[in-house]
Amino acid sequence: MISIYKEDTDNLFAELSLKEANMANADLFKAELIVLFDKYHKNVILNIGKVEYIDSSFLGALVSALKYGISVKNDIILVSLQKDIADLFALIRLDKVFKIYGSFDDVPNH
Amino acid sequence: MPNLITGKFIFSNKADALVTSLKQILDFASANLPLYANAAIINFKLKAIITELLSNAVKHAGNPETAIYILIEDGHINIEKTDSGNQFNPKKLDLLCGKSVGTKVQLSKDPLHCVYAIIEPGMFVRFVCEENEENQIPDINDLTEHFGILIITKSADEFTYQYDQSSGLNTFRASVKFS
Repeated sequence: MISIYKEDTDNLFAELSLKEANMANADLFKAELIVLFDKYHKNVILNIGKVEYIDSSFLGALVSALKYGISVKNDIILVSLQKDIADLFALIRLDKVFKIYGSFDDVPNH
Repeated sequence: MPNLITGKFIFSNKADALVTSLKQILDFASANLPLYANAAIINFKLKAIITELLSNAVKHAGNPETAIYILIEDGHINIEKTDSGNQFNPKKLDLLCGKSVGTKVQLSKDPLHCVYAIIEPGMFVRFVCEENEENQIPDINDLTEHFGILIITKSADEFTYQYDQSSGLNTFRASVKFS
């Protein structure tokens, strides 16, 4: 469900293909992110612009994957969130936890 | 007499049916909102609440279907989820219900939020959330990975749970004001 768009020295630029991000795919999503960290040892800059629906299970998987990423000195940066998704992150203050940008081009130093 | 609009929806408690049911319920609610309601804000809150109620049903109901009721009246919309599955009972709330009215039970705490259940008369609890002061980026390792109750509590103006011992019926009820 995560495809790599391009990479540079420190970062993978990737895209999530899901429209519905929920409990049915949360575990696989987390597993894919962990594989990316273990294989590439880079930050994951993830475009989640296709996501229209997200539930707490998927958000939990995202936070869990971020904990893993931070533990191996990497990060997850999110880009292109639809308004409802960005509003949900703000509602539960996950915008204080994740670095969030409008697009790949808006991410500093990339 | 205030106008009352009601809708009943049966959800199959299957993850792959979640978005279809969500859209159906949102379409009904949107079509019946009063003109003075801020549709964008109300729809965002309803989407968040109903998504989590349906997700909760898939994960915890323990029975084949869940009923969602929409009631629109007099300045607010109520969303009720009822099922006869497993009782919601974190922190052994059942032992407090009916005895310790007003007690505030902490359900979760992390650097960003504390979520509590306040014991009300009967087998009835009301959820409240407090934002913790956090001026720096929180330590990721201290963050919760469970957001369902938090999302509904912060989206709704009131969010409650009631357990009917005689029928075994669980009822979650979220209310959103139009202004």
